[in-house]
Amino acid sequence: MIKGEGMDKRWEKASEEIKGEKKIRPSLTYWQDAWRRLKQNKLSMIGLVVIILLFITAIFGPMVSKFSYEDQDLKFGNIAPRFDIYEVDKSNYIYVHPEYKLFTVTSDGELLDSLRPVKNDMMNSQKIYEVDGKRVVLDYKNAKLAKKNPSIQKYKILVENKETEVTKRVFNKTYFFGTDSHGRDLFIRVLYGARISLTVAIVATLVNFFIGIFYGGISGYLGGRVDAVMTRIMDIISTIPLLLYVILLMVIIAPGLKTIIIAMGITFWVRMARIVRGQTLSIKQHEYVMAAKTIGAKNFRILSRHIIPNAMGPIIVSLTMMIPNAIFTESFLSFIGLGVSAPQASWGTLASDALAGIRTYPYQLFFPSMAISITMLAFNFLGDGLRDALDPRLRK
Amino acid sequence: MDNKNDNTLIEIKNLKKYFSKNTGFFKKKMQHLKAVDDISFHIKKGETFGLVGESGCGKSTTGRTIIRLYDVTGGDIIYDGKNISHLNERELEPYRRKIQMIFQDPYASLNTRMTVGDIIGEPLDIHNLAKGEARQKRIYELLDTVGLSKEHASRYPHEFSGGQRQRIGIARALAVEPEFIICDEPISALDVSIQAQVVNMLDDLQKKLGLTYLFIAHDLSMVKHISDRIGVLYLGKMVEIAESDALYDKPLHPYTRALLSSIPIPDPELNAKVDREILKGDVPSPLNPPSGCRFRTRCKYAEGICSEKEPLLEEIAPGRFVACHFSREFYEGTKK
Amino acid sequence: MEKLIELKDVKTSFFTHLGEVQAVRGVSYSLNKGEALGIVGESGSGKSITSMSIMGLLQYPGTVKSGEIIFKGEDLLKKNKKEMRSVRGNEIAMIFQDPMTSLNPVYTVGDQIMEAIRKHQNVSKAEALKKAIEMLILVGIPDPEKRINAYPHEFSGGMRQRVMIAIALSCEPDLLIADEPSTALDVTIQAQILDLMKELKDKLNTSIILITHDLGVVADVCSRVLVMYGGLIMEEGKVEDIFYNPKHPYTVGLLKSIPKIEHKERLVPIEGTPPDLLHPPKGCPFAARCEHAMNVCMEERPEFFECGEGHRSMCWLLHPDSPKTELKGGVR
Repeated sequence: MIKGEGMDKRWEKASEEIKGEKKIRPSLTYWQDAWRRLKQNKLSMIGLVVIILLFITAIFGPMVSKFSYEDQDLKFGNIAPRFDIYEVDKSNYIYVHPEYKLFTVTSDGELLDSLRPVKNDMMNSQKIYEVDGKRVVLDYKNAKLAKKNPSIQKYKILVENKETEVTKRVFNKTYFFGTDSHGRDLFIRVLYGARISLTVAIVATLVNFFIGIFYGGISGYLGGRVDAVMTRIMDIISTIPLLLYVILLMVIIAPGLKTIIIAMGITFWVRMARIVRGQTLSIKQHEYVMAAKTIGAKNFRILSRHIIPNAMGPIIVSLTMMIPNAIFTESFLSFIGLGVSAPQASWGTLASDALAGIRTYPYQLFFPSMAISITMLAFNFLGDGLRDALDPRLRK
Repeated sequence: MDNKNDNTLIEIKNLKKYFSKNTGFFKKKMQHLKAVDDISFHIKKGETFGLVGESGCGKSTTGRTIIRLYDVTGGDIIYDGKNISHLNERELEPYRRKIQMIFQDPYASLNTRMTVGDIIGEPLDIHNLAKGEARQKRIYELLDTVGLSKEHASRYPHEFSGGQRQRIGIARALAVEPEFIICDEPISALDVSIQAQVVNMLDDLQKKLGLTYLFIAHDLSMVKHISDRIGVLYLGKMVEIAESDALYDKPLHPYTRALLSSIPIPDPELNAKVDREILKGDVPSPLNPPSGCRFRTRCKYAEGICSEKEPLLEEIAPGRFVACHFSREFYEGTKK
Repeated sequence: MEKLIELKDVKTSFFTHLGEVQAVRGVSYSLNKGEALGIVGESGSGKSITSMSIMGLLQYPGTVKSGEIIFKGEDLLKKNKKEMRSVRGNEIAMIFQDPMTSLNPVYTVGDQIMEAIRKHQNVSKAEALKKAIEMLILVGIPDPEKRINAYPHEFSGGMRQRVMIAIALSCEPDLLIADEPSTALDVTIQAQILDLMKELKDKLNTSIILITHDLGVVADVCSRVLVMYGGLIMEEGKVEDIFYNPKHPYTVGLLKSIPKIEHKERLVPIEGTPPDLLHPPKGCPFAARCEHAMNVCMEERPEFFECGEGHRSMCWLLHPDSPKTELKGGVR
């Protein structure tokens, strides 16, 4: 115990200011808290980054690329993104195409030109070329045997009559993803496909958003017979499969991006409307909605200011999960030929085109499929994380 | 039916509110939940009328029906001489300013996505009472009235405690300058020491603004404190109405007596001395109430007549209404 | 009087992303066998968390930071999960506020009682059934042989609470912790339940810790009272001491703010709001709302001062050097 003068001060009445000091805790709004929780979910963050990158490359990629999606160069058809090159001499390298064509390339992998054979010796199964003065022979005697026995090499390269081994394997620097059968750059076509997929996703989502919220909100809010009728309409619409709508629409409009978007607009909103209706039904019972009625708020005000904002959590999650669905649907429709037409590139059409040469040129299927998969996964991860982050019950 | 004069602000006449459910599969078979079954009372200008009862008695339903959150199944609500029970939404608009409500759950009665300022300002916007700067000024005024400050206007509800949220709810109700406020269990969800703050504030506001209250609660001690007159509900029926002092000094209806004696007194010695009338059994289902007097299944005074004839609310003495076949005997003290 | 359970300087905190919320900041008390102790406090006082700490039922991110809980000679905090499971339900039982959510809706009432019995006692199904019916009779449920096969939703609130009590007492525990057992019930049903608890306490010699904010309930059931605020005990004493001779400004304030049937004077509320447990005040937690607060109250947490047999209060006003202040309080 402290003795002395300090003692008297202790027993003095505490002033009001000292008593009133209070630390104000910085507190978070609903969205800040949700963002904090979302950040903790690593998979969702990865998904978010991928999506952002996807948007950036889809928007800006085609602007900086040297090719457009429809540029064809038939001589460069079906070239893989990675290939073996043979050294002819220090400044000349060649690449052998699976169709037994020769191309000159740089040592880095840039394609220069295709070579015309000087002589096509079919009797001896040889093609003779001249590369910068040197004589290069493509000997494909063993081609037939190699088909049965894969361990045998299909062809041999002879430079100045000396058998040459593969020098190295390089990445195709001209066409990053290789080319398709028409010599179109697959990379740029995948990026264009991204544009189409994202356009479809956004438009379909926006349409769903507005129709779904409007319809579901009214149905849930009014209840009773109106709700019953509106729900039955939703049920009827969702019984007919999407494919049927597309086909029926094709009778009126030509197949293409528009048709797909219209068909998706007709069917996808139902899911959103159902969610909004469910949310509305439950939020309707909350006391602040009753309070709004007692102060005289009209129905529209209650819906727009009280019910929908509080339903945003599940709405946003639903939107995010709808996007991969939309992307896949568009890809699928394009794949079976009901979507965009050539030369437009959608991931679905790319996949479809790739089927023909799938054994020899598997990369042509690989890249569009990967694009679809990664995009869908990214949105799914993000959607999963959002669902957890926006769930009000988990908040504390 | 009871003492009416020009001072009556609101009169409830034979009010009924039934909730119906169609339980039949093919044929219509209606099941009626008679939440409020023919009750009548009146409230004078400037007074506080307490409405008490236990769960299922219909007190909250009564409040919500008066403010027309529910439609009236039967009976009349006469506000300041006008019958408002069957007006449509548009005709009710002016009454939305005169009659307001304060809700029970401070955590659910405010929209968490709106700022406090917007919550209080919403009634002003709906009724076009103030715009722009005048609106802001009015919002600050209201915050001040309920003991909050200007800075609170830009905050969100979750940043406040239960007691403060209830004040915000009160400020919202006051924004339209009402005459009559229905308080639906406004303090049940608050801490004990905060309850006293809110009750005092309601009291002060009543005196300052000349408000009339319908105070719905199940906490009998608090109701007695704040009310001038009290009505006791049981299973949708009004069983007793009296001035609060008279009711607590000499309860006449057996239910009221049991209710009052069940309250534990915060005084150990008094508590031990009290002769508790502990009711047996539970409240019967409102879907299938007992015939005659609804309370007879738990009443120790029940006799044959109680199951045959329903007792009506009668004025036994000036201002004292009881619905019991033996009310006179209880009043005179001649019943066991 | 033998000590059944003793808490020694128990500190419990919740480690959240915002920081450490100190719910219980050093609570010590003891309970004797056959006693009914009431713990009174408002939200944030720490009364419920203290009991959850005893039962080992703290939810993430809460942990007991330090202290001891000595029950029948052993420190409960040192027990592992398996050992606590055999204590819970068997030697210490708990009933909660909301009977609607404390019972599992997909199992019959009989199943739930028998589950409790068979978990701790090695008896056959038939014996457990017999005991379960006995419990239903004990708690006053009519027609027990039939009702034992009913589901929770077929019971009313009061009946469900009785079932909860039956489950809790089925293994005849030494200690029953009741956390606001009657708050969610109607007043007439509350009277029934409190009466039942008093009766069972005498019959089975069970000690009770009754947590509530309702001073009337405390006056009805308990013989000793703890008043908690801001995670600490403010005052402790026999129920008569607390109601008639309170020695702490908070207790006085509480008593003044509740309406009493006989008086119609204006209620005197305690101004202000409870402290923020994220940044608890360094001095007395009640100082900011206390009309007698002195500088020392804001700076240093007070010690306990004895004011009678078994009656202590944590308040600087009781220090010999403090100015003589008459605490005008108490119900009489």
